[in-house]
Amino acid sequence: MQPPESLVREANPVGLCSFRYKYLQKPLEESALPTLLQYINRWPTAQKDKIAITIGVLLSQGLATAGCLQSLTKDHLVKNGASHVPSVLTAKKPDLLFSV
Amino acid sequence: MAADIIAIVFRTYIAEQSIDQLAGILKKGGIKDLLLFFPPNKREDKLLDEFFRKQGLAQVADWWTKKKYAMLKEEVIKTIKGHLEHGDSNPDVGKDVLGTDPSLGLTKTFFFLRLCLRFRRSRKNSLCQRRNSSSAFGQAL
Repeated sequence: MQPPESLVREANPVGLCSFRYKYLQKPLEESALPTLLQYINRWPTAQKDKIAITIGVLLSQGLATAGCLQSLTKDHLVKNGASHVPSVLTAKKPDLLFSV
Repeated sequence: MAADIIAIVFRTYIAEQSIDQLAGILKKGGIKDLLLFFPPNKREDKLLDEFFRKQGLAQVADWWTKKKYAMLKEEVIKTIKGHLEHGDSNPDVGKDVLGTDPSLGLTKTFFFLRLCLRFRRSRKNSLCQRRNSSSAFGQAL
């Protein structure tokens, strides 16, 4: 499956930045991506998919190492109950809920 | 959830690069065990294999299975080597190699038998060589 063009386009500036300012690559790998992944359970499903695809693109371009995936092994992300937040709940529209 | 995200990351990566490169970056990134991304009660190689196949990542499943077998083989060889150094009897060695985990029994038996066969063959070869050399010695006399 090819990653969507829009996400590749979004990942490109990150790549260009870390290529131009080399010192940015280390913080991206060691703090930014692991922290994002650590709290990924609070994100809506669509955005989770987006960040996962973007990380895949960054990895395949060699802009980040796979070490950032290590934070996904934390207990609260791995345990059974954390598995899936239905998109119906995350994409709710207040107008619809209160109009009844 | 972690497993789902890992699957998406892998799928995106594999669209651009090969499975060998994926294995390389995982090793470099210090990710040795993919089972850690699964819930504690589902940390089985069979379930991992099934999950990745369902996600359309058969290459990852194959790679993981191959890696596991290589690890098992090393483990068996290590155990046998340790026993040989201690000079234990054969039944003890067999029991120790096969008895630890019943689910791995078959695979381990397979490796153990292959090793035994190889050992017998090498012993036979060395005996033949010795016999040949002794006959050569006799002829020389």
